[in-house]
Amino acid sequence: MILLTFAHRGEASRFLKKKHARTVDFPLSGLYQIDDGFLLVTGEGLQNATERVAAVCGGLGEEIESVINLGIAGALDDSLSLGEIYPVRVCYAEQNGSMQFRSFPTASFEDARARDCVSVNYRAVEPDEANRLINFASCVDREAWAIASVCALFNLPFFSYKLISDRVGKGQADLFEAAKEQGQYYSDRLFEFFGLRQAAPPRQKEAHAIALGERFYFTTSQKRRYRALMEGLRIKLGSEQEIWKRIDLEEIASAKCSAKARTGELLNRLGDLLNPLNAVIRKRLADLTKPLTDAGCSAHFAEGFQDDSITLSARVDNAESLRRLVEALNAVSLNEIHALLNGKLDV
Amino acid sequence: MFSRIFVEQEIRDSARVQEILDRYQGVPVSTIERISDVFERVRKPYLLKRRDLALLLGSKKGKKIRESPAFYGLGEGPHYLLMHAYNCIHECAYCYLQGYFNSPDIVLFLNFEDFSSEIETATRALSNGERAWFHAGEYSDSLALPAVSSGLEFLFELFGNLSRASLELRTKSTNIKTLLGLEPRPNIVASFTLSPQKWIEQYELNTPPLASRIRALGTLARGGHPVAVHFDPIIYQRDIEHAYRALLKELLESISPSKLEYLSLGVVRFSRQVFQQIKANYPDSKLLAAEFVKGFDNKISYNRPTRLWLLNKIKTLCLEAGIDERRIYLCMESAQDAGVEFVDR
Ligand code: SF4
Repeated sequence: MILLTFAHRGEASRFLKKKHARTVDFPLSGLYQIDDGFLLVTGEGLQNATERVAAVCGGLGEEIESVINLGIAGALDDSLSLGEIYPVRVCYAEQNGSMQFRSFPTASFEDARARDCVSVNYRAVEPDEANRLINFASCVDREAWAIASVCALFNLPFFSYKLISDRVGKGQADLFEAAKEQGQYYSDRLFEFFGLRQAAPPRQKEAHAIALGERFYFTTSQKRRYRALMEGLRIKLGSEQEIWKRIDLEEIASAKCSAKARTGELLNRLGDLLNPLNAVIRKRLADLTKPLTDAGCSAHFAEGFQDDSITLSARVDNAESLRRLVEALNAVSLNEIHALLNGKLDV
Repeated sequence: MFSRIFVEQEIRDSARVQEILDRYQGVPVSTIERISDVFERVRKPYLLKRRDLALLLGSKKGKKIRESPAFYGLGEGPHYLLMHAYNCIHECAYCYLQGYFNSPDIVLFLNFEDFSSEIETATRALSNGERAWFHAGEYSDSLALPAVSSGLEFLFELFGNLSRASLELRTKSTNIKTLLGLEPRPNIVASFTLSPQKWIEQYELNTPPLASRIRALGTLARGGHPVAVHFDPIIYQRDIEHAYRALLKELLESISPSKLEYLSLGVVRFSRQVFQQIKANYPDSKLLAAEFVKGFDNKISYNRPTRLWLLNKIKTLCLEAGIDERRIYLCMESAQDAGVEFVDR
């Protein structure tokens, strides 16, 4: 569900009426249930907005899927038209006379009409304020950055739409006083605009939850590699479905070995699919170390084959098993292995 | 091209600034105290460069040249990177600048005289027989911005007097008009980064096509300017051998192999920070359709056998095409890689 936020009740009035608002029993006032979600009147300023939006996002949890801030802003840039409504592209802030380093791109970042907005904790009306702030943004408000920062914390898509009510530093009325006086007019304009706006696509769930059942067991680093491989393969093949068409999961899952070893094999197959050269490297190494595996000795290479080392692991029970191991070691060509690790793939 | 130009107060009235402002008439201009009042003062998303790019003009304070990372460039002597400009109008998906600065805005430093004294000092410190290289193009494409022709003129004059130093102008641009008007210097090399055209379309947005880059390189060579080529970054694709063979054919139809000062080879690699930025900025790029590992130098790239195979393969193609082996060098690749971990996405 969406959470609509407004600084003033006046700006929200039309939404409250048309969307059949009902007060929510919540530790802070100003929160309403509306037809398609919730509406919050934050009050003016960065601190009010931060506290109240954070409380609501924390309190309502997963019920909130995106946050939309609607309100007015003063134009810093002459190319903005009075009375027009612009999506915000990036939110900046100035606090205690200095620009905040952190900025927050909104979900409207790609919109060609979108403009940058700087939020301040004072009423910007003076020409020198306008001259300073225009170095960073096209319009100025009192809340957007704060709400954007909370959305970033909760990983929620954030939209902000600003109706340009005046030009800062041009001797026009204080936009925040105007907001209170003309709240009803602004609310009507914002409501009309909101009705025409395309609804945001539903929030994406995590692309590939690891749900391969009990026959696989993932260590933390295997989980990491699995995610990376799946992401690369999604780009390469277009969808997760295409990946599973090319991997015989049932064959791997029914192998007679530990769940962790099955996962290792699955990761190898995914890696081969993503990078066919990996398949060549693995196959050649398996061939070159076959005498060792036949003698019950496993050979492990450095991760990413980043050096030439090989770690061998074998169990010697008697003179015969020692003899077989020595024979196997003699049969392995270290030169060929090193040539392979140094890029002689012959493909 | 620019949404706004910021100029430092102390150089506001200089001829160099005027030359640039004349070129970008109609763009709003703001006067600022220092570049740092605006540049990187806030974190500006990298992809804003597509629609809202500012130009900042000022004087570079502090270090003006920086020693290059290990295994960078040709020859034994020291290599320095010129910090005369930051950022770039092109948009390569693999560009390391996206994780390097906190803003995509273009910065040009116009206090050329201060650069010249630092370059001269570094050259004087060379030991006998040593030669220094200075590279323009690490923090910005060295020719992409036509704004300051006086900068190139200044560098040509300076290096004309430095017999033990060479300058590399590294570019993907075809903006060679100013260069063509200057007297060629044996120690100033224009080097072009080339990739197969399909790669350019996929990964090097907003850059001139391969044919235009090769044409520019040929024109400069015929004009007597030393030229060089970088096949860097090399990005693996199934048809890589065929693509680079065709690229070499096209290149060597335009210039004889003996006219190439050098050719460098480097496999795609990123710092962790740049890798995160690429994933954020280009989440669907085919560049990411590969498995990357973190190497001993903390650089993220393909695994070592794949990297070395790619370098060997392309080097062999170059040799087969008639390029002298002594002119080919591997960029940023050490034989002593050790210890990696898989990279988390
Ligand atoms: S041309 Fe060079 S500096 Fe410019 S975007 Fe591409 S890689 Fe970066």
